[in-house]
Parts: sequence; C-alpha cells; structure tokens
Amino acid sequence: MNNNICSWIAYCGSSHSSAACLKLALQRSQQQRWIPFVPHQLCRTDRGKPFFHDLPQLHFSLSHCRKEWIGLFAFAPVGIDIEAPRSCRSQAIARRFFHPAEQAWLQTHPDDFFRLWCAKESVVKRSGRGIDDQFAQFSVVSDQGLILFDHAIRLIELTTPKKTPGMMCLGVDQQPPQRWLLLD
Amino acid sequence: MQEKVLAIIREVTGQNDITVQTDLVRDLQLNSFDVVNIVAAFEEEFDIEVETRQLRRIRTVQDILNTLDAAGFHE
Repeated sequence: MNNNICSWIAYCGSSHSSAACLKLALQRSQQQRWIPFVPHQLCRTDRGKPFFHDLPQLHFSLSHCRKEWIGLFAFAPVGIDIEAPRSCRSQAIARRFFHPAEQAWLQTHPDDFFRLWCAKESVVKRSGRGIDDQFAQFSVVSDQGLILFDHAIRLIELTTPKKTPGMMCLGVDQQPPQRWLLLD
Repeated sequence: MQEKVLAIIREVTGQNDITVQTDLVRDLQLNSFDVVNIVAAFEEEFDIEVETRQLRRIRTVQDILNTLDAAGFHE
C-alpha cells in the first residue's frame, strides 16, 4: 500500500446506488495504489458499521444526501456526514437527539442545526455506535461553539462540489484527507 | 393506521409514490436524518416515543408500521 496517503475522499454527485459508488471508489483507490486490492467481503458490525472482512485495516464511512454520495477512507476509524439544510422538525429532533448544551446553543444559533447534526453523526459513525440512546448524551458544542478538537478526536468541516455542507470526524492525530476522487 | 402513516411519510418526504413495501433508502434515496425526521413526525403526531435503538432497523415503510406497533400505537 502507498502509506504516504493516510486518508482520502471519494465523491459522486449524480444518482448511483451506494453499492455502485463504493465499488467504483475502491477500484479507483486501488488504481491509485492506496489499497493493495479491491476488497469484496463487505460486512457490518452488530451496530451497522460497515467494514471489509478481507481488508480490515481499511476504515471508511459513507454518507449520502439526495443524489450525492461521499465516502471517507483511511487506515484508522473515521466518520463523515453530509446534509443539505432543509425543512424538518428541527425542534422536535433537537429535543430528542441533542444534548442540552447543543439545544441551548441552537436557541441563539438556529442556523447551526445541520452543522451540529453532521458533527454528531460523524462522531458516532467514527466510533461505530451509530445513533443510539447515547446520541443525546454527548455534546459537540461548548459555550464558545462547535468543539473542533478534544483529547481524542477532531472535527473538520467540508463542502461538496455541489456546495452541500458536512463534517468529518478523525482521530486527533490523523491527517485530514489529502485527495478527492471524483467518481463522475 | 397504515393510510395515516403513508400520508405522513408523503408529507415529510414530498414524495407520493409510497406503499407499505417502499424501501426508504433504495426507493426514496432517504438517509438516516430523513428517517429521524419521519420518526419525529410520528412522535409528534401520535404522542409516542420510539426507542432510539429501533431507528437503525427502519428500512421500509413496513418497518415503520412495526415500530409504531411496538411503541404502543394502535388505531
């Protein structure tokens, strides 16, 4: 493997199945020699986190929104989430899924709703827990706003080529993605 | 209950071609946030709470019906 690259993003802006996008992303990654071969044994943990049994050292996180698909690939756990801001039951969702500190932040910064959601989703995707009953128990904000660094993780904001905002969660010592693979 | 559920999903998603067999991800290209939004709509509409751990099991409209049933909503 080319260990000079630590993480990369694959992106597709048109409507293809997630399986097709993932396969193409892996093929292109292998062509770049970032992975030694295209893994095939896709599995999921009991919490739904995907991994390849035949290439377990490859960590990845996937997200899709409308017709966009994005994957973050690395050799350490990562999480990614993209969301196009849209009409939703934001107050009900915040009451149910956001930490009190996040709810308080949203009272004065309502436009941060999807920013916080993406941050939280990327964290739980990286950890492999997914959205569970602990989702509302942690906060991605402090009094000063979004916590971009703590002792274990870092959050990095991103924007897709179609201007959809999102968030990546990496280990605190992980380099941010060095390359984008545009699949379409 | 089934028709009420379908009506809420149509309203939340803005999509009309929805049946009990509809796969939310494969057929409607919804993601986990969309599922959360749909569940929030049901929780508001029917004054129930769906267990968070049930969310990852929701894939089809039938899964939503089963989840509502498990949450105690019966019409």
